[in-house]
Amino acid sequence: MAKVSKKGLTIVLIVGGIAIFSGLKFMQKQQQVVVAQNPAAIKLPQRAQGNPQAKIKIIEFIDFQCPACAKGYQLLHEYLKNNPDKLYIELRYFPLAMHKHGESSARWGECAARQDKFWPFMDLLIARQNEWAAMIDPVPSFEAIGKQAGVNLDQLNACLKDDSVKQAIATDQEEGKMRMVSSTPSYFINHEMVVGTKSLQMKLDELLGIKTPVEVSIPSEVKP
Amino acid sequence: MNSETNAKIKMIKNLGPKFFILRVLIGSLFVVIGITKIMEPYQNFLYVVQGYEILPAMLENIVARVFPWIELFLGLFLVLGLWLKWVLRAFVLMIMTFIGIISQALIRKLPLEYCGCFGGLFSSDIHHTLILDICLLLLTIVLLRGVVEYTSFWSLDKYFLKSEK
Repeated sequence: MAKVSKKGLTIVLIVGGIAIFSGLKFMQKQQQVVVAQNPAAIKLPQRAQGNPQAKIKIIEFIDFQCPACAKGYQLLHEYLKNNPDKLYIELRYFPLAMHKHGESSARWGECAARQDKFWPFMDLLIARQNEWAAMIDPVPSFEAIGKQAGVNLDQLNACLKDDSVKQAIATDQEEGKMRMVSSTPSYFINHEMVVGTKSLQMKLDELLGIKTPVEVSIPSEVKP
Repeated sequence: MNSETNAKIKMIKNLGPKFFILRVLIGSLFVVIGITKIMEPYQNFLYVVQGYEILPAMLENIVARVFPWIELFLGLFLVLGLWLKWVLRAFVLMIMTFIGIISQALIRKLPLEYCGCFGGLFSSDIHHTLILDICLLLLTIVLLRGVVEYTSFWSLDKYFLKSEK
């Protein structure tokens, strides 16, 4: 009798646990759908690339200092280069506390965006990540990258003091948290969450019907 | 009762609560880690699993979806003291697997910034996690060795054993 009760209790605990947490997860997913469909968060012309009418819409949450994000950025842009009409990418800032230059590099990126130089600046920033990520003060490296990308440095320095820059980053981070982003790079491909470059590649290959995997032409370790 | 039995009862009364606290602490840790991972999108943990580069894609998916539930229920059963012998054996096996996976990542010098073992709860680099796992393994072995006398103190196993009698 007692033995049956022990087994019975075990079953109740397992079934009850699965039911409770599956229910909570379901409720959480409903909230995520509301966030994903929030039109206010989808108007970022300076940080968007590709065809706005494309069937594959990607929102990319990255930390500019994260090595996997650099790989993901290059991979995604390789796909975009090969399929310019089929993809639409929007980039969101998601600097992580573990990266000391994550926040400052995002601020530089936002200020470059305000001069319409976001993508040339980003391409160089990502390609030279190894160089500035190791520095105590990465500003000289950011300045060199900015200059090369055609950014007006006087304007950019003034922009860095603007509180709205921090606000723009915080807004993206808030959106990421609401979408349950906790690691980078995280992507939302047609609202479906994909984390990391391996999953990104598999998902894009599936959507684009690619059988031969895309190779990243510029590894993050190599300077252009 | 002879003096040997008295000494044994005294020992159980003395060590039992300590084993109980240790059992609840380790179990609660895994319950919290399990819940954290379950409540996050499974893709976050899938990314962690992929980082260790030891499983084929399909198995990575299964592990990312199922493993957090295993952590939750093993932790819960350890806290409650249910099926202790089996749960502790499973814990030893699980922690040994963790140690193996982290060690191979260190040997292969995989570019892992943090272990990802704790979900979004907190991040720890893989060297620290390896030390933590070794400590956890030793503590679990201690719990397993004392499972009959001490670890089952204030446990459902003991309750059901008494009910059986």
